[in-house]
Amino acid sequence: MIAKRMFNALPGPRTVQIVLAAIIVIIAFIALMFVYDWMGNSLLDSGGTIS
Amino acid sequence: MTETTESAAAPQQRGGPVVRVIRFIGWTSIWLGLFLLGFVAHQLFVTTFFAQQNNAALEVQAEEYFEGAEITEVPYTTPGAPDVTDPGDVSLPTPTLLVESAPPEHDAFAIIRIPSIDRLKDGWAVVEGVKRSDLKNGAGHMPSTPLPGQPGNSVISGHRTTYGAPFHEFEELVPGDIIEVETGLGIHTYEVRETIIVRPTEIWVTEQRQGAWLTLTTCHPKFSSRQRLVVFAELVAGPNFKVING
Repeated sequence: MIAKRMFNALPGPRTVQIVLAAIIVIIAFIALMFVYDWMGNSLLDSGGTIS
Repeated sequence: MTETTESAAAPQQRGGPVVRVIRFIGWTSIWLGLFLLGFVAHQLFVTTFFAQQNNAALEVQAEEYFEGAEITEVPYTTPGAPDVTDPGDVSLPTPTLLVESAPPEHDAFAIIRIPSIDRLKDGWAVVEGVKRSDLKNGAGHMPSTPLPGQPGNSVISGHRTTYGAPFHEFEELVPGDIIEVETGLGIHTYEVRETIIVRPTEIWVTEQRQGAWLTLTTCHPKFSSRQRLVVFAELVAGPNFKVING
């Protein structure tokens, strides 16, 4: 429901909206991977280095 | 009739403030749960999948490095032993140490094998460097320490639970276990002497030692970077063993 509302709020015709949505999803996915990576290194396993 | 039913149902569906708070908490919990589920899946499976792929490529890179490594012989005197490199003394041959050229930073230059550990039976590539990006693909050699097979204390670090978790089963290592490190010089065989747990800041474990040592470090306990599990192993065989141990 929220996703549909956000999609409809995107500017332009349907095709542009789809392209924009795809770009946003890819960027969000990459950002999520960075967050997971940072969390993993900070909390679970930093690689075992001594410093 | 229908209109009355719909108009009465609409506010009920939207709910009062209490219902809205409960709904908010419910949705937040669901999204948080999905986020954490994704985190666990990413750490356990995604990082391991890519690390295994990359490490296979790094093993090939290490083997190419073995073939192209420049090896030189340098005079070596055991600390504390009489100086046999004295030009006046011609009765004893000068012991020479085999030294390989320094590997390029971030590149694979060695393969570590531990026969008593399933994950490391077939080997895991070791790269030069211990930056976060280095350790994502292989175990990392601390550049400020000697290369494996050289006198002193060579330090290698690796992940315990993520990125392929090469050092996952390190708590199983006991004194006497064999660790092999293959470099451009050949295979250096070490024997585990001691396993200890320290804080991540205890840099004394990387200090130089007499003889030839290999120090392996990883996170401890599993799924935490609170402490370090450190394995000290001493060289017992290899191209430089006789020279270093007199």
